[in-house]
Amino acid sequence: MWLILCKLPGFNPSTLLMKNKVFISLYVICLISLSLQSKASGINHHSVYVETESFHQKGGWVIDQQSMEMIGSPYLMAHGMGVPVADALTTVAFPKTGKYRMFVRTRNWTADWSQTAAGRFQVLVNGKAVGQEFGIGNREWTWVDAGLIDVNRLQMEISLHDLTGFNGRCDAFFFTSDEAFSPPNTLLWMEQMRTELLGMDRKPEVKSFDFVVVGGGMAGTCAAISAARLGVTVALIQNRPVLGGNNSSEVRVHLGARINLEPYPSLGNLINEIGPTRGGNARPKEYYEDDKKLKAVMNEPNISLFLNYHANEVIMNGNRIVRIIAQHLETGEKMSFAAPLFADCTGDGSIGYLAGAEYMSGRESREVFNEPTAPEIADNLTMGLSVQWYSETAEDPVTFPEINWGLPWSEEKSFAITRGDWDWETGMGKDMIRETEFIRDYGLLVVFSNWSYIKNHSLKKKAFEKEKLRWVAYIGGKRESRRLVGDYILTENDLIGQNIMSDGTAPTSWTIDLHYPDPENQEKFNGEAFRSIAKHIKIYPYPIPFRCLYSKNIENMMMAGRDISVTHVALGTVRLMRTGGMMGEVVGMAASICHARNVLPRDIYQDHFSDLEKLMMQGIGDASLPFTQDYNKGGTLLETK
Amino acid sequence: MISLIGYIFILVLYLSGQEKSHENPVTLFNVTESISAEVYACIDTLGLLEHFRARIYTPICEGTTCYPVELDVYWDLMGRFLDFDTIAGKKMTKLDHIPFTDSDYDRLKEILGNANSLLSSYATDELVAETRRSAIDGITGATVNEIRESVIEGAVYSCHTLWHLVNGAVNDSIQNVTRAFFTKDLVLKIVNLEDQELNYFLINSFSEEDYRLYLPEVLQAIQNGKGYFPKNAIEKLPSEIICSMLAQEFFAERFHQLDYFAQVALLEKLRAGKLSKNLKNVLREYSVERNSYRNELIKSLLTDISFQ
Repeated sequence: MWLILCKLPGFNPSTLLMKNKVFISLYVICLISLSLQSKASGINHHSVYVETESFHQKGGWVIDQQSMEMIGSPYLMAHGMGVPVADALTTVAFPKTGKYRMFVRTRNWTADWSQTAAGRFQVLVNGKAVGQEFGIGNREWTWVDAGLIDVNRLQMEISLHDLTGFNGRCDAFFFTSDEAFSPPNTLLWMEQMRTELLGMDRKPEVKSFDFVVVGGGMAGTCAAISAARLGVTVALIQNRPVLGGNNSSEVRVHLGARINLEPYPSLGNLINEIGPTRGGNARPKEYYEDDKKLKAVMNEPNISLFLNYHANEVIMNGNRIVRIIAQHLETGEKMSFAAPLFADCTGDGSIGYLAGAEYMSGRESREVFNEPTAPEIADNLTMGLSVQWYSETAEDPVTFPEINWGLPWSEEKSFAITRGDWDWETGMGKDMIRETEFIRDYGLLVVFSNWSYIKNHSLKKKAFEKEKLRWVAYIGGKRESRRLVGDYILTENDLIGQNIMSDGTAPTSWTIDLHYPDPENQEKFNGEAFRSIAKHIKIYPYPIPFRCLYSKNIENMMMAGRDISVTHVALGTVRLMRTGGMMGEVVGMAASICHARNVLPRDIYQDHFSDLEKLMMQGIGDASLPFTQDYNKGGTLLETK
Repeated sequence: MISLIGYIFILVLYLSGQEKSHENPVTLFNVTESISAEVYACIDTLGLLEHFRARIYTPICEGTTCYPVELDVYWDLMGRFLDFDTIAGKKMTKLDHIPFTDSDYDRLKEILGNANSLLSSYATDELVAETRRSAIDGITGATVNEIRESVIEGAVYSCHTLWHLVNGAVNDSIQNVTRAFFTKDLVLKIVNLEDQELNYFLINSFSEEDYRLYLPEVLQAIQNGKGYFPKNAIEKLPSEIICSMLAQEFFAERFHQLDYFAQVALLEKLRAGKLSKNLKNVLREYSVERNSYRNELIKSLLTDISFQ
């Protein structure tokens, strides 16, 4: 069993760590492979395992980690919006030459809707296509037998060659000299391959901090900066290459709601400092100013930033988290983060879930909290995931493939528009965690189905002749999944009745804005809506109780963002990103009090709340900067000053 | 173009329901360029200000084509757009002289009533995207996407011009006139409207002397105030006035009705040496075990040496 890491020339990782405190993996794994002897046959057989996300050249393929919990690892996807992407490429080392059977782990992502596959690709071995086309078979992730290959050199070049530009995907390769062996399609087997045999997590390096923040969206980024400025050493772990979450250039939702509100007008100054100056959903990349957020974090000497690390394991001691283990998206390298205090800013409440925190999901029935807007009977309806998109006008006519795997479309069903905004929303009623891939894929399917119709068949196609599909999100913008339970659960009645509490913190200022499937769209598309409607309930700005920002049963875990302790209805207002960012500011302040007084979040509420109140009055962001957050503030407040 | 429009507002006291012969101009303000409008202050049967009205006459220009618009516009006491009336024989038209329908007028009212409209940040020459065909065939450019929902199709310039007229400098001018008319009766009338924005208009307008004069009305507004109005109003009240017997008795009776943040605002304004017995007793009840800034303030007030 062996592993070869290739170091990029000219880079000294330890030097860069010292300088920038950024732990973006600088080692590119050229060869992640292993050989093992087949226990089944009892004779010497060799096997090689390759994760595609570790390919040393990604070409035009992108890494998708959104379904890691279900698939076991990230995968590569050819997100070309109808134009085949450049090949992804790696060199695989084999222990011995000879015949190997090659297996490709892939799936047909359109199998649920069509007999024709959208995302077809080839595998090239030393530049020559091997086996059949891939991405055409099962809807499930499957090891597809690509037949025998002749490994005549110890290093072979393997490429993914996209044929369609429509989101073909490949998770891993398995080569075995045991012609009788077939890799099982179980997560357990693959986990064993990734961990035990690759040996990456045997002894993950342990790094210690005062405070570990998981999730680098607006809430997590603000939590990290806030704590760091108050003297706390922080690890910020983010499972994407950029910060900002839904406000990053990967998702492109603009910030919403208001900052600098009563009762703590200084909260939000940090949002003003790091937030984009321009509003608008589904706009060009530069609108979202990823670098501004990154630079703000880089400027904090107390923050160590771990981009591309996905936290997926917790080590507990009773009701406390002791360590979090995170895995690098490309290399699979694991790292262990120890701290007395953690914050779950993952949106999905992933850390809380792993730690055994109480959580809620779906819609609570009316009788649970006596909320007027809650349904009579509880159900699993959540707000959806947005796959936004837009087109640009080119100089000359631009074609788009006439697809034969899309949904049946017609003039009546089509949307002759050039931008898909927040209301291109899928998955309402589905499991936002277990069915993420399906929900996102349905979003892609309808965007492509609509665009193909508009460009090739619509009565309005002449007007769209020069329109070119410029961007379609492949990272979905989620609104709702798990809500972690705190010492208090905020309800609609608190918001409507202005039940202001003494531990109020960051004020929520948007309406109670709940999304539902668009009934007309739902009917036209067999119950599977991809457009949503929003229903608004006006409220006065309301300070979110501190008791909603820490877990009820995991003693050393706080939350900020959309996974805090609220009912489904109350989530409708607190889920806005400026509000989440302010929660982050508060959680960072609370971390500094926990650190200084050696106490837990609950102790702050009981014994040290005036410390937090004074910090909230003071604020953590730069108050001298010009106000830039004048867009998408929400115009339906009952109170404006 | 709005910059070319400008206007003169001549304020005229207008007796509601009476003919123009009873109008009485009270002031004349800013002359900019081409448009003048007389704004009348309308009073109720008790002689108190009710609302404002003006007949707006303005040319709307799209390229080289101009057409006139004439409407009677109404504002409330702080200059917020209320409504408009059309004038017989002066029907508004859209592009190519298509007359406004009833639903167009309703839509226009919605547009003008949205003080936060995106139109506020658009100049006239930003309303239309780059023309897609040459000027020769007479096709004008498309309305930019961002404001499409803020205008009426075919009447983008009318919406824009009128929005800036009714939501522009006239608002400040009207507020100034209302302030000049402040009396105990008018302030009480405004407070009784229980309109949060009007209440904020009041407390943001008052001088220290005004607070002394209108204290009962302000306390009433605090009592009925929603959201953070009570906190903000208390923060505006001078400490000396907060410590007056009238105010202390009011707050002793209603301390429990104030939200936490209004309570904190009040405690920060109180002076230990000037604390009334009733209020002191109330504060004692609120001194609880759990740590909070409010408790710190209460303890500080109750244990202050100057008080003992």
